[in-house]
Amino acid sequence: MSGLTERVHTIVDALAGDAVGDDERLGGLARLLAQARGEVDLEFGVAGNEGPLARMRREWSEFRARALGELEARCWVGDGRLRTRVGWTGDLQLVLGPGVGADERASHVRSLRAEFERQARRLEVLTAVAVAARRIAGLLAGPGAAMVSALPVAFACVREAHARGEGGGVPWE
Amino acid sequence: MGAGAGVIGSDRRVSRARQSIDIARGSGAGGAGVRRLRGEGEGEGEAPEIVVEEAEASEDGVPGFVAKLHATISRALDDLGSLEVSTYVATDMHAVFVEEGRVIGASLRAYTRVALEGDTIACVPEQDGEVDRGLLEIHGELVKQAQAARCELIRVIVEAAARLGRGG
Repeated sequence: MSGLTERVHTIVDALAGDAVGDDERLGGLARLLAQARGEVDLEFGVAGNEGPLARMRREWSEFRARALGELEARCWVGDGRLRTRVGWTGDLQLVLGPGVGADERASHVRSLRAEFERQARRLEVLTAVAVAARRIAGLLAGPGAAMVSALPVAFACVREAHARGEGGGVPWE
Repeated sequence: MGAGAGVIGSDRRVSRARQSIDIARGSGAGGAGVRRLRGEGEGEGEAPEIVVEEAEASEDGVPGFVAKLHATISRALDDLGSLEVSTYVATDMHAVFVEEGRVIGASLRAYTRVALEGDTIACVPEQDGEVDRGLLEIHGELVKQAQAARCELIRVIVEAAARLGRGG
């Protein structure tokens, strides 16, 4: 089991067992879950800003819209005299310009390695969201309106798991 | 140039990933369906037509998302049959572009294709009986990188398929 998935399961376990303790961020996720269940009123931000659940739904919607497409898209790594077009299954098209030195080549190979790692991580993130969403759906078990919140809440759990493992940042990058 | 040692034997893992995906599809992918009774809360006097909407058809639902992820993984498995690395040289990088997957404005100078079972085809042109050592070096390094990445991707896909198949 990857570290990310393990951390996501730990977070969902805590939410399922109502064992968030005084962890502020887990508390935020528990409130999100309660809102999705319809147990508490939706919180609205100041001056009509969206509340946490609405914000998470929007952020998930934006993420989902690009995530699967970006996963498969070919991208260029490098610019200038040394570029490689990378397919997500590993196919490569390298274009070498004039006068490229050994250091530049070595640096380019490192950039490619980083891109491959990023691509593998993207699939892990999407899988973690899907697996967590199934568990969250089990916790919501209610009317349809609540069920469609399983993915946004799962996404929030994966982001939190990523932040706990990596010390912040966004899992997609 | 590497002969695909990391890729040999991966076909068994790919086959296992396919089986996991088939199992997941057959099991209904989690079954967390969204059901809504159409007619509730709609105009008074209308016949309460009861329609149950399954989330399987909805992108908002978990099964819809899992199905999309399955489809993406299946396409990746289809692409894993061979690995291709092409190295081009260009005198004017500004003139290089891609059209229908082909690099235009640059000359193909080295090509390697590694089949899943490890068979490898490598083409490197020589000039006046000599091969461009520098070009060959980076091409070989890229083939190694691509093979390592392919192995890692297969590992991630197998894990993903297994998790999606068993629900965690």
